Amino acid sequence: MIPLALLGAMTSLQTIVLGLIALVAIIAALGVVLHRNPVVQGLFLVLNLLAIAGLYALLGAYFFAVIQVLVYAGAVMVLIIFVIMLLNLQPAARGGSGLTPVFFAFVLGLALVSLLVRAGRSFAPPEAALAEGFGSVAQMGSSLFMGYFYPFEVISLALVAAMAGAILFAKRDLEG
Amino acid sequence: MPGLELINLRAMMPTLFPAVYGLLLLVFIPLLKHDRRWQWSCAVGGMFVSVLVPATMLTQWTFGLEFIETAAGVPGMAMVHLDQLALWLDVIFGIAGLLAVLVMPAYLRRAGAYRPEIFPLLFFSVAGMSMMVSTENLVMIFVGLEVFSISLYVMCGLARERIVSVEAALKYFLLGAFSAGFLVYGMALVYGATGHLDLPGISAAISGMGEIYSMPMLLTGAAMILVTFAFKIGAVPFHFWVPDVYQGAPTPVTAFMAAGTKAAAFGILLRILHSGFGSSEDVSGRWLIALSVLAVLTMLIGNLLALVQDRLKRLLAFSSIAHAGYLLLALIAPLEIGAKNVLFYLLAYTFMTVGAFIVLSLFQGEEGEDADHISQIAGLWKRRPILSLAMGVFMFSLIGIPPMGGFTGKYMIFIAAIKSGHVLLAAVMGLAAVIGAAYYLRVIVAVFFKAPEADLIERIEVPGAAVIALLIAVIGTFLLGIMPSLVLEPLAHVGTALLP
Repeated sequence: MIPLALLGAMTSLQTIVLGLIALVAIIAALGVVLHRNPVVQGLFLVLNLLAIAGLYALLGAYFFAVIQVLVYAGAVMVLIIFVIMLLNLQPAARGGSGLTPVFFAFVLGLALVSLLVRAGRSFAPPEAALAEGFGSVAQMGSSLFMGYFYPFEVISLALVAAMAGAILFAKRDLEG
Repeated sequence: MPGLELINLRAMMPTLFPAVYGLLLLVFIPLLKHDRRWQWSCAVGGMFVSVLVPATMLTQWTFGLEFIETAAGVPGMAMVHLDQLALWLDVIFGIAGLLAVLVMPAYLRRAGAYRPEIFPLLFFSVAGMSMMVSTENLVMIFVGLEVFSISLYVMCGLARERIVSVEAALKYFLLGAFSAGFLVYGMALVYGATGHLDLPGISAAISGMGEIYSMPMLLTGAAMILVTFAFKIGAVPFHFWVPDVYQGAPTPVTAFMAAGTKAAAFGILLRILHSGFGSSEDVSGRWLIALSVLAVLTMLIGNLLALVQDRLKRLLAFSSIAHAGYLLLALIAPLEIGAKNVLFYLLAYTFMTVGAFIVLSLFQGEEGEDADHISQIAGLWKRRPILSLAMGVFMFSLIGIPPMGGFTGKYMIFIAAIKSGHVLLAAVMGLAAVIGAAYYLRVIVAVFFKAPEADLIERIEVPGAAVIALLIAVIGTFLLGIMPSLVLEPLAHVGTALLP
């Protein structure tokens, strides 16, 4: 709910840019969910990730914005598109679920959105100004290796487990 | 490097030992490639130490206090919070892991799914659970959750020749990823509302806020965090994954998952409820209302759906949903008794449920499939009297019959609910327990009183390790029933340390 919450604190030009980026992000996210061709869905996801990078840049986190473009919109998405194309997925057939689940999903989704809008509106931006060098590489490095040293190190366990899992699931011959 | 003084490492042992041991195991498995017995022995030994480390630290408790004082102000170490709650939960994870690892190789070999990599994954998930409960920081809670969840997703799908196993892994993974999204979103909202990621900070910020009705952001965040853990414990209406995943996963993995995940999620719910939101009646009160609704739904629907199950793994899955309901009720009681009851019940639940799953893991059908249909265990008493007795003990304990741990746990939760004024909830629990007795008795009747039917279990092989595991589970179940004070006395002060 960043867009609603920060409206007041921004100049008009930033507001316009923010609105555009948010609109692109939302349309792209809808495209990921609603489009039936996997390749197009993947490309919508690229667009969505780029828009998020734009949000980071607007918030002053330029390094994050660059990393987001390089790693997610770049490297990760190339892999995803590769896999989609290698698997040669066909567009999903229309239909399947009846109207009742769609209706419930719509009602519950609407309830959730209204809750989130309320939550976002109640946000009071902190009064303190951003620290000197916020979003810089140096600042991020020191927070990764000082304050967040422990979680930064142990998250690698999750990566190791995921890697072991990928090998276990995908390897052709597992005997021995 | 800051924060790596010896004392800190020692106090992080309950988490770091399984993590490092798992990594070493992963690296050295190729060396032990041709000797499965060695691979397994290393895993069993390591898991035994994983129980021993937190258990010894509990006996010399002052050490933890010392650690918290030393760690304060050391960068990075603020993320670790070692207290008695965390150590007790570490013991439970270790016991669940040990019991599961004892029967794992025999089961997996039969299912054609023996991969030595399962042992490191088991250690990683124990480490992840331990990480999640021994911190007061939301970031670490998320990291711990991911570490143990990802390991569990992989372990569920290990028998990849079986379509049900792959289905279980995929289902658990997709829904788990979705629920983790809720956790992160909820944390972001809580951070946005309070400006803090650590529970004491959140607590202080909330108590300074005053009118909570003006803070829908905080409440929405708190609700989303609750959704994630309700999913992990399988509370109704977030339970849809439980029966399929429990049935599809290899039985020893199911056993570990049922006990371990529940212990981890309830431990962290206890911590967030009291250390994080405890300072404001408004926030914790709303959580309590939500928890009560979840408890009622979970107790009733879990037990009712279990009535119509014919496959024992599915039956135990619904039974585990029902027990999550009792545990939710224990969580609602005031902190001093609530924490004690939750931990006691988790311990008893670990012994009886893991035990029951271990018995199931010994029954083999055609081509190594699970033989868990209720008609297949008919007349088990005539074929395997001792195994039947063990099954009987676990079933009676799950019902809550006096000399077993399940009774003591249920009784204490019931009394605590009445004493804290939740008479209606206690009545629902009584009703649910009666419904529950029906399906456990159905199993008992099948085992002891039915004549054997045509499609019996093909073979029952009881390896020595399974005997040891069952002995531990039976003794644990009885010990908690006969001498509950053995555990209850040390548990007495766990709760008060959680107060902000």
